[in-house]
Amino acid sequence: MTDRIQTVTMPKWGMTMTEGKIATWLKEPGDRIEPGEEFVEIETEKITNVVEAQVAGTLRRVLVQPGQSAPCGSVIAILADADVPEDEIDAIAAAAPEMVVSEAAMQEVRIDAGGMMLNVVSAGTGDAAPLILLHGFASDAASWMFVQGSLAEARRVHAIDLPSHGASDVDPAVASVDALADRLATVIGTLAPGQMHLAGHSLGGRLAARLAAGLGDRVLSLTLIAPAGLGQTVNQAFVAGFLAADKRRPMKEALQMLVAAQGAVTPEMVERALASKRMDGATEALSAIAAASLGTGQATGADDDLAHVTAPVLTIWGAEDRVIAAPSFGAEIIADAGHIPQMEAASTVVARMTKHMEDTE
Amino acid sequence: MPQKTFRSALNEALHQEMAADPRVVIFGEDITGGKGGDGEEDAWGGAFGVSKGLLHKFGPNRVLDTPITESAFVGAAAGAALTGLRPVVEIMFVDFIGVCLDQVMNQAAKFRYMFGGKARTPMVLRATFGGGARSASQHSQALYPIFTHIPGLKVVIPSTPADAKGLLIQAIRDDDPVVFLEHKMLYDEMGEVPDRAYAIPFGEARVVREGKDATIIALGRMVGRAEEAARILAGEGIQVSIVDPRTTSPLDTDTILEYAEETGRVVVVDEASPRCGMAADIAALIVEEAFGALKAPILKVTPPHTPVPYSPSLEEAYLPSVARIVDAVRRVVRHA
Repeated sequence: MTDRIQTVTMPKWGMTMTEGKIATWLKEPGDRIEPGEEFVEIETEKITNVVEAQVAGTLRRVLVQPGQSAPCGSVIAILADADVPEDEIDAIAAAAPEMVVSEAAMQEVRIDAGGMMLNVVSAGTGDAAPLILLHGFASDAASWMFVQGSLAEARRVHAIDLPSHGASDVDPAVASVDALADRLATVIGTLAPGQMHLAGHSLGGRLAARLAAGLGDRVLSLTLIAPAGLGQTVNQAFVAGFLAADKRRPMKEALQMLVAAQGAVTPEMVERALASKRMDGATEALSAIAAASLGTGQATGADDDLAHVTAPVLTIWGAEDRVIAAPSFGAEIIADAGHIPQMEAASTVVARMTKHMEDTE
Repeated sequence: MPQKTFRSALNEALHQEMAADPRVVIFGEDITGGKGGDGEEDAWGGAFGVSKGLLHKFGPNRVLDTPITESAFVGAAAGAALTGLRPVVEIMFVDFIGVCLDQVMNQAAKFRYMFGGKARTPMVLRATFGGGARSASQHSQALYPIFTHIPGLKVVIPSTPADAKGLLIQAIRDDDPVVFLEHKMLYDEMGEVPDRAYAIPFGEARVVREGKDATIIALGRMVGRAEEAARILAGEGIQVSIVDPRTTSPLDTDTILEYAEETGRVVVVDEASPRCGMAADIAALIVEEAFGALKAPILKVTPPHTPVPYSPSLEEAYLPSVARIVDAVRRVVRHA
């Protein structure tokens, strides 16, 4: 296959997704597609998402029709320049069922962080320096599900569940930025003993800055997505609303603050968020983290850490962020995205992060 | 997140709560299997495998086999609960409630009220229910409307492994008598279940999916059938919401009404007998509280008012099927 021809594969959004169903092709064979353009809508048991193109090309062949399912990693379409002969496309289409795609595999392990076990979701097999992903407050590793597979094309990508989040152990004593970063440093030492790329979202961004300051030149690049601690206060209505929500409706209202698109909060997301709080001790631990690391008194501090970071830093923010408002300068702003651009503008985030990492390699 | 069966989710809940609280004891017929006989102890983990491993972990003082005497051991559970233990008793088939209903209906359910709020009865009565196992009329009923009818009882009907674990933990921690009903055809169902302990509050429905054209309200095994129906209907361009109340007492009337009002077209699927059943109860609630929002008559999908047949073909015809749910939704959607 030449680079004039690109295959599009069924994405893998999280550990449990094994196959996806084509809901609609938003482009037809013969249509020109530019990077970032929406071109196919895919459904799983849990979620429906529009996929944006990562590369430019003409949609030459659709291999999976609307209503049909295909395993994660299998080829669903072929993009190529308009002048690539039809028989070359035919040859790739004929070989498509045999193509093995390794990045579709994901593993989940628990790693000791000094007496506390943290859960890690990993993808990818490449030799490039691994990437560590740190999610935000009240979220979990699954918040990277739309980007982790794509980021893992050249490297291992490890998404860590923060202490008291996701499937990690709960401990209300591990609540301050120092304590959280300390536990994460232990796990990162196990996952990436050499050089690495580091990325964090929201509270995870604050923690990534702290960790990068301590890891020195082992960190090749740092990506901060809507990070806490850079001078913008965290919307306490979100934090308090999330912590107080014990039922479906108030939880849905809290989660709406995270996204730009109305209707983006599904019943599944609401149930997941409630379930995360219902783990024994979780609500107390999350309250402790919010008080120690996300209060109005902690609006700054990341700057001090960044002063000690030698790696290049990319800062990304959703224009419609209602949890931590985008700053007027110093960040790349993504239109039509709220506080979680890696969910709402996944391909843009993948493209920017991939370039940022590759620039340092 | 780890995948577990409905059975192992329940087993994990019992293990975790017994480890966390020494007041939790369990007893019932055959739950340790072969006790006092020649066979291997705990060979099956009870008739349905839910109590596997508890005997060896927590010992015979907390995990007790009983004689075939529901009237005695259910009464003993109510008394033990009054004196401070948190018993979880198992009635192998809910159909056997007939011989011990007084202990549940006139004793456990009444203590808090009749003792002026000064008595607590933290007991859980677990039982299997439902058709599909070719177990005939005396082992296949869905008797939850009987318990729902009795004030003072809480009634839980989980439909997924994750709910089974979180609701059983809540049931054990609850200070009132809880009737916890497990559909015997769900024990091998797989789903994501967190390893850690968690409690799902009672009276809070799960919104299984959202769609704008019609609302299905379903309980227990019928939730899965409603989901299958929804997939078929989606192929026809009909998008349905599904609400699983999870507990019939307390009942999450807010969520039921919210989703009934949103689509105005409602189908209630209930495996219990149609007369004085949950389908009738929920339909009446919606008619009373949300009549103005209705665009079509509410349809009930229930078995006929007969005993559960033993003949496999008759039993399948008796139970609400995916095809009947699909048909009912089509009819409410087409209603002008």
